[in-house]
Amino acid sequence: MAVDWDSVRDDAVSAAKQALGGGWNAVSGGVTAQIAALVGLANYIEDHRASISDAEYTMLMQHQKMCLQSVLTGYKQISYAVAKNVVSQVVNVLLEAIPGLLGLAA
Amino acid sequence: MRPMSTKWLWVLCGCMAVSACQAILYDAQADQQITSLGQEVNQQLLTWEFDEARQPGSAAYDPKYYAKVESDLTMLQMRINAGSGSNEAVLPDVFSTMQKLLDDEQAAHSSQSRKVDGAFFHVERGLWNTQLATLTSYELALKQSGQAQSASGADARAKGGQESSKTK
Repeated sequence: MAVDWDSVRDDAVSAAKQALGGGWNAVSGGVTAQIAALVGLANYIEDHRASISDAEYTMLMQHQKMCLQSVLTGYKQISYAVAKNVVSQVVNVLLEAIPGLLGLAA
Repeated sequence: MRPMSTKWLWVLCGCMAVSACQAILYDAQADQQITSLGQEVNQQLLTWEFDEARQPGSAAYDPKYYAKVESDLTMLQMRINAGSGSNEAVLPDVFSTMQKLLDDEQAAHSSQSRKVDGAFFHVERGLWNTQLATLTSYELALKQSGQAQSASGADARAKGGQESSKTK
């Protein structure tokens, strides 16, 4: 079944919003753009899954998580613990949409 | 050598206190270094992506590129941390993430046993840009706060000028 990536992006942004609670308003613009960019890259990776080796695929997925977390901790308003929680919520959304995603679950 | 007089010690302490309280200033050179690093990474990863699309296996490993990016990244981090006027590192996770991206890309690219696909370079470029965007936002925020401060300073000076002309 084809993945509706627009819905995945919207769900991922909603999950981040919920995880950030009251802190969302201060960072919403930047975080939304970053999540959209990362979901777009996840989409690209899935589209090119056949040509990417398993090792590179796993590495790219882990890099995705790492990049989102470091972007989030770049905001003064977001603590390390909150950033980890946001990443975990966003990853859950992606895993729900694409259960076969390797690397992200690790 | 003559001992420093108490008066000069107080002046020195005053200067140190003022400099310690200074706001972090926008650094045009750091901003330029971010732009240069972004151009360097985008240009090379895009070239390798296109090379792979044209002819698989043609994105030749270039250790000079990885050495140059590592060096530029180190210089940029030093510059931004030095400009912060604090012992606390600025955006440490962003810098360590970029270092990890570079190390992993180099390991994958230099490995003889693995083929690196053009899509790999495409995604890595996108990931680099998320980190570079964070650094750019940091410098732009400093620039904007500096402009706001000078504008409010100019307002205050203008107001002061009006007040003094009224009293004349």
